[in-house]
Amino acid sequence: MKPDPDFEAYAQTLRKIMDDATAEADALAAEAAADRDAAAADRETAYDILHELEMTAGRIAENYVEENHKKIAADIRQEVLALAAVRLLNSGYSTDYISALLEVSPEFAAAAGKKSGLF
Amino acid sequence: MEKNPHAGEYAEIMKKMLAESRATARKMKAGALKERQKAAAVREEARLKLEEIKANTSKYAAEFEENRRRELFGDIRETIAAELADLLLNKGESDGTVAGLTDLPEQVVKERRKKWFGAELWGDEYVWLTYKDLGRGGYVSFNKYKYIYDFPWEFGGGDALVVIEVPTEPHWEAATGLPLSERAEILEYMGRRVTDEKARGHRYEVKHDSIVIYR
Repeated sequence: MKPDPDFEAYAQTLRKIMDDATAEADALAAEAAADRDAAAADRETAYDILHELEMTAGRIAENYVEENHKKIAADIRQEVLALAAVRLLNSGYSTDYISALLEVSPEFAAAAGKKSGLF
Repeated sequence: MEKNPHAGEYAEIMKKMLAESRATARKMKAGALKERQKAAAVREEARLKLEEIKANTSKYAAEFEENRRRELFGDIRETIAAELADLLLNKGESDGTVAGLTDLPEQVVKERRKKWFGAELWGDEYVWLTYKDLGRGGYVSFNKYKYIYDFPWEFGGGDALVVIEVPTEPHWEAATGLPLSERAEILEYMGRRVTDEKARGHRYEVKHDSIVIYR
């Protein structure tokens, strides 16, 4: 015949199992929270460093462009016009037509074509 | 002490509940451990990224500078392309051609055409006006695709502020090369646009040989 079950011992065992598990889970959760906080702090530091670098680099680039704007704009204008001239040459237009349309010299249009390897 | 007749049954229930509680506790710990491991990985990732950034500040600075410079060059290029677009539009090139030659989106070209030339779409073709000032007079040029016709204008006397000379109906087609059927529409358009662009608030009248803009 089976002995009477010990309710008290059972309840204690049950409580201990759950208390231990809860304590362990709490400790793990606290460690996880600490790690997440540390990660957030590192990310913030990283963001601050990158932001500062970006601001400084942006200022350097802006100063460079401002100081050299005339030359940069002239170079880009030449590129834009040369590209348009090449496309027109590709479409079969003459250098004289291109010269009149883009208001560039016929030599410029011809040179753009030569440079692109067209002619 | 009297024996509980259901003792065996209770003992089985207790055993089962104990096993279930252990399983629940294991699950709880496993879940917490998984979260702990995830957080550790997140922390490690953040730490490594920070270290990497600190070790490569020069590389990042150079990249940022290059990106910003490229952005600024892009702005300048866009401005220059827009100027070229205006030049081509003014010479009657189509939106598609202008977009193809300048690399500007066709929608941008269309917007510039409307904004700078007050162009209106008539069927498949845009029409717009340009002006040549020669002191006391000049020309109002009617543009339709690559077609241009210059209408002479001069300052008027009395109530007339400006008089734009237009060919009369019998001479219209020979003078302008445009169909007579379009004459009324063109002259109305010119009166409307000229007052809008050059004499806002003034009244105009289309007459048989002129458009008169009143003071």
